[in-house]
Amino acid sequence: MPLPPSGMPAGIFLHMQAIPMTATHMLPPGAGASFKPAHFRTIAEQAQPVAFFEVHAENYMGAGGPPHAMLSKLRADYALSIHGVGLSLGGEEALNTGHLEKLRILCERYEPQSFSEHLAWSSHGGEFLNDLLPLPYTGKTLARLCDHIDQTQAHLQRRMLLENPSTYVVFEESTWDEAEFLAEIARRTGCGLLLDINNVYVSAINHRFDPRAYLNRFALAAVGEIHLAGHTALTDQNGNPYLIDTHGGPVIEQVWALYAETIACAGALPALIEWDNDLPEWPALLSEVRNVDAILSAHAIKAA
Amino acid sequence: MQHAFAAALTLKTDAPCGVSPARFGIYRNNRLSALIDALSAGFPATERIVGEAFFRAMAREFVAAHPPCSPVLMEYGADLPAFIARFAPLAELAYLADVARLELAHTRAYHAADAPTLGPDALMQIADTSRLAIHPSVSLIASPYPIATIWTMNTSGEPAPIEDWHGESVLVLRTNMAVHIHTLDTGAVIFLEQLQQGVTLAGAAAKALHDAQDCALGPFLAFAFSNGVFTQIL
Amino acid sequence: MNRTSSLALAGSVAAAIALLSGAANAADMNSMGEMEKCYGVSLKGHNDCKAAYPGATCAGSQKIDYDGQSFKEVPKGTCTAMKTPHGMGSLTPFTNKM
Repeated sequence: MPLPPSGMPAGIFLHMQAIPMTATHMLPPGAGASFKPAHFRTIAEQAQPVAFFEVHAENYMGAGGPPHAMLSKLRADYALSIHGVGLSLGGEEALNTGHLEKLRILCERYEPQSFSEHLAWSSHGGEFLNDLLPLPYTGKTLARLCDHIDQTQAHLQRRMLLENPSTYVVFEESTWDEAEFLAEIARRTGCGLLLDINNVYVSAINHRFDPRAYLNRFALAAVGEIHLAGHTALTDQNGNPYLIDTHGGPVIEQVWALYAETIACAGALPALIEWDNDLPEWPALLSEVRNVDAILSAHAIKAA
Repeated sequence: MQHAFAAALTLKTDAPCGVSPARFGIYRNNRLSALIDALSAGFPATERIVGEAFFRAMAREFVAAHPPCSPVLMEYGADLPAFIARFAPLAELAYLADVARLELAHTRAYHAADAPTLGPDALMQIADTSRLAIHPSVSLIASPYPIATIWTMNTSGEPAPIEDWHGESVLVLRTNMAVHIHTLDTGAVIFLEQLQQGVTLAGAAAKALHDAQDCALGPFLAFAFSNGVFTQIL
Repeated sequence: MNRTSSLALAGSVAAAIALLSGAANAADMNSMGEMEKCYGVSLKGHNDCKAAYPGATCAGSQKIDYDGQSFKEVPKGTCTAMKTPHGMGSLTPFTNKM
């Protein structure tokens, strides 16, 4: 039996050995797009230059009908990322095992190349609060998240990716930096990370930190996917800018620049264009996907 | 921590100590507007009938009274028809709760399980003692109001005065991959209800012919066996 | 062969067969067309991970008033265009009975 890497407790290492992490559990290192049913006809009519599609798990938890017919067709033609928005990994209460089982059934049915969820909580006291809510970063929340991620990976029998949030408030009791907190979770649980560069930028403006310094602290080796999206810029009553993570427009210049700098360090990674509000016609979304391709090509030429 | 945060988020208490109320308001707005959007997506005809401003204000009251317990929002709003029936500001629109019931059945039919269906050939195989399994997408809604007419006007049609104001019984069904609604006559409603209860074909037909006047089940059987109402002869 | 003999059923089955004979099976003929149509009108998913645009609701950040006393809206959609036996629909402001 191989020795655990230094710094990693043997128990955790043994647990990870039981979780399959094969090449089929990796997205291709190209550009992906959020899948929306409004675009299905266009996508089904003609093969699209998209490396993978991503769907929200909860929208495919019905028994049958058009959602599953569309997703089956999509999965037959493209790599797939299933992105959960309702598991509440950061919740103080026990994980919803019924929901976890629905995720397992979905992953078993579609065999996606990636399953991801959020560093957030969204349920409390039996109520679903329907937002990705912020957490203080403490020893206590770290332990709870690691337990919940261990439970999730064990139940799904696969490695998951954990996404950094966009936040509007910070907690005074936090004792960890967010990037280091995520790195420690990845180290303890063996999960990968989903780096949402727009979220980094949104939080950086909202909490006045340097996004480049944050990205320098981020565990890039653990990143299995990148998210890119648009946001909405506002000014508060004191004249200070703040951003809302609306996913309702094109990716801004500064976020593209951070993405190019990130792959210059980390190498080519799968990158997704998210677009949820004010959904445009498919060509507008595709043009964002082509921007990712252009940055990836420029990186490949530089690297060669 | 999360208990206080959740209470403030659901507008039961003010923003938690140490959190900027303006910033906290972003989370409140996200939660509430996304839940209202989910209801709006599920009840488009209901929304059109009362108008967007009324619907969103009513939905806000509904969210307060019936917050979701499941993260699967396609299931959210099951209580809305009953809420509408009791909602005093809608007392004059007595038909609205049944329109909402129809929309709920429509969404359920969209997500219902897939199942192979019986085609016209199966008409040759059925016997008096046969029982028929009904497709998972099927719902029957009997209303004292013309809900199919109202629903159609507010989805694909143009709202206009309804001269012939009468009750309609509606069959909601997904045929292949599209959800349709069909109005049924009284005999067909009784026949289908009997089959849903596991009565034999002969028993269901006898009851329909006895209870409904001028009942002709032939057209309903022709429709049912060419639109996938039944899945199996039991 | 039609295997029904009950009076109530046999005639109806025979009528259904007569109605369908000669006519192509509508459901089968249209299945691809139906599939196409349904994708054109697919419901959008209900779960998202976007944040709302500010001001997307009238929620503000005040506490909610649960008693319904403050409900001021009046239905102003297509209900005003659809005639009912009770008139054109609700146009009068609702007043809470105390």
